[in-house]
Amino acid sequence: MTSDHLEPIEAILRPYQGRKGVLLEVFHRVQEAYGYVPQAAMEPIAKLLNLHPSTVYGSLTFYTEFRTAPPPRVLVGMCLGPTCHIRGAETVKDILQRRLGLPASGHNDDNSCGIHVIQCAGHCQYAPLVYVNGEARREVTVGGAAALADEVSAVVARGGR
Amino acid sequence: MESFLRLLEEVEGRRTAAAGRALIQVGIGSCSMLAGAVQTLDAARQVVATESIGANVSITGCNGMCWAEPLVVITRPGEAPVTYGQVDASQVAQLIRDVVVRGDRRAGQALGVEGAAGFDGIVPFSQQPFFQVQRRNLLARCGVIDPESVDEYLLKDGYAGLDRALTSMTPEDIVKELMDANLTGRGGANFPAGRKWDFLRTARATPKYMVCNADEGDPGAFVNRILLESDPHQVIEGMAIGGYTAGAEMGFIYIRDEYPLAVERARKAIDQARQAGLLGQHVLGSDFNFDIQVVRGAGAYVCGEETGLIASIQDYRGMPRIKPPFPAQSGVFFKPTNVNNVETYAYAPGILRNGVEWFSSVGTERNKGTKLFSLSGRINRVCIVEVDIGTPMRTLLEVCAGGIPEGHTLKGVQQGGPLGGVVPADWLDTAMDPANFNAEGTIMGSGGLIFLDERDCIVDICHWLTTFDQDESCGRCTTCRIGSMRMVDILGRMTRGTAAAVDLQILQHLEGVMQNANCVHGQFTPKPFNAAYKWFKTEFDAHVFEHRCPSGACRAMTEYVVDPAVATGAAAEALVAACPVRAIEVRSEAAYILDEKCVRCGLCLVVVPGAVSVRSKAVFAPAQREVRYS
Repeated sequence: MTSDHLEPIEAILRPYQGRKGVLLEVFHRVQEAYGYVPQAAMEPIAKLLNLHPSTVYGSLTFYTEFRTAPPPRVLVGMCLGPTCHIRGAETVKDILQRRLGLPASGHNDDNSCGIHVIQCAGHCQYAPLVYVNGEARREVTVGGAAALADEVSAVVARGGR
Repeated sequence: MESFLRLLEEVEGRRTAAAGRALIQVGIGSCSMLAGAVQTLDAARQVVATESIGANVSITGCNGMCWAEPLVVITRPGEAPVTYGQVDASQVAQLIRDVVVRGDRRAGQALGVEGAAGFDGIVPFSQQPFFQVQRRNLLARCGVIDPESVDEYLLKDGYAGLDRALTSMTPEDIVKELMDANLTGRGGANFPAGRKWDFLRTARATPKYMVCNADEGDPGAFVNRILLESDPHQVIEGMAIGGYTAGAEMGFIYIRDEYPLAVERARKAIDQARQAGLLGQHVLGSDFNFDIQVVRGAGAYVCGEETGLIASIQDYRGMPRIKPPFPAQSGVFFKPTNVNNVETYAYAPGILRNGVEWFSSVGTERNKGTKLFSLSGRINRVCIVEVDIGTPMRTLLEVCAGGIPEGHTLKGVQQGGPLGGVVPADWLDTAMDPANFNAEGTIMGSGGLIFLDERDCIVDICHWLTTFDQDESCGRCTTCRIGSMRMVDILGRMTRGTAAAVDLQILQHLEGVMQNANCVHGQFTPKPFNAAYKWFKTEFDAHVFEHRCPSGACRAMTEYVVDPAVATGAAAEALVAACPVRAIEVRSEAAYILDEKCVRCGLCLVVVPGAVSVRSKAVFAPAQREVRYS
């Protein structure tokens, strides 16, 4: 990563310089800008917040919502909360994985598509919930899983758009 | 006092300027946004602007009727607000033309009207069972006011509790009032809030911090979300009262990342409160200074444990630690800290404003007041309700949630989140009182109730809950990290039909071991199994001794078999086409299922009746061993 890649990071960090209790917010801002929190951001973050780089990295890797590598171009978010679970979300996940040729967790080799299990946000009246690049699909039952998989395939073929 | 009255006068002035026009409110909450409420709002604004309709369009929060979203509330000048359900973007324009312009009530689509009397065939909410069984102390303003406007909160008695605290009460008075009211922590631990605030008040080190725990991680619990999204000022006022009581000048609201709208609304509310002089230096002209910062979580359930939450706020990994020292001695930045749930803080303003009696006149002998519950699972209506503590679970299921879908029977209720358990259907007449749950070795928890019917397998649910706990274990103490792993292994074997009798013994043994975990996360991880095993022993026994799943939910224990006589020709082709994972192919002119590819989705069962059937899969039963710790 070159120094000009880091320029946005410095702009993001400026308002937080020297403050305590803002590390999570900094991670969120960096991830919003880059799609993930780059390794090269550890040192500048540590310096600005007067933390040890290992504290910064340790904190980053504790939370499931922060990524340390670029996300897949098509990210399928799946809620496997209890209501989604009893309405067949696990089976839906199996169908999506098999039809899209994805490994059991994470993304495929060329990072064009991946499944990420999200935490229950309590939208249980629409269970099972699936998000395709952040856009919610409601009540994706086993009967609708194949059609959704084909739709996702089409998005993957278009390069994620 | 004077500054508060002056503030109210200003707000009143702004209101009169906008009066005399119809008001159209669209309920915008994170759940209604999934139902297209933002599109409904845009369409409403557009029709009002293009057709010059004399109405103001604004937003409101969520009133708990999740099943009827998107909600639109229309108030004609001088009349009570009427709520309409399931108004999508294509219908809202016509609804506004009919109701506001033509004066047609559209009673058929109306859910109800505020106030005591209905009109034109619209039944008032106060006469509908869904609202009659509720006592909406905390939800009073949810779905009524605009959550992004401090003015509307002020007009509905907002900040009157804080004003009373600052002008006429000492911190000791407030502690006494909360103790008299017997307000207990709503997050699940049920500790008296007044005593907790008093611990912080008497702590000698400074500065002190007030922390609001909105890291509502229990899957299926979403009661804090509605409070923060639909009435954020109530929580802020409660924290400010707490800050005044305990001598804290800084507060943190820790909101989970899954609630982006709650983060946005809380931040907006804090900004507005600062501008109105309700937060910041010299709150309401007094000597009290208080400010709040919102912290966004990032998907860690264990940060809902107070010491984990504190570690997370101060930039460390969100790992809980051994108590003592308690947060009142050493919390955020190693200074005295008070951590309460959203609901607990939200109750403080009401108690100060309406008095102790208002709170403590309802509830049971040991636990007073009301409690919010979010109902989900196998029910007809997903909803959020607020009822008196002590209300039977049956009322929640039958009146609020509209019962179990027809043709099915209730099996149990998953309560208390992943560290709670599953109680059987015969608990329906048990009062929802934390004491009743504690007496049976489980917890009532923070308000999430997930109803299960005969299609759901209790062993599978236990496996799911324990897997969640294991995944969310912070890993600091070996007891929890490895203990939960062992439990998941064993419960997983049960769902696959390969468990042995000794596995049940090991699970029971693990309960004692896990008591040595550092924090409640590890200590409570065995609870789902223990509670479920107590009431659903036969189901566990069927999995362990007979290697079968009575409800058929454990997919690994079932097998799909084709009847070659039926599944030929066109029927075989139909089966091949129906399989979403291409696990069916034609062999020797009949359909054939490739077992390793089949995901047991059940779609082939209905395509050609009688062609495919489900049977229990013969599993290779393990030898009945002596104790094996694996």
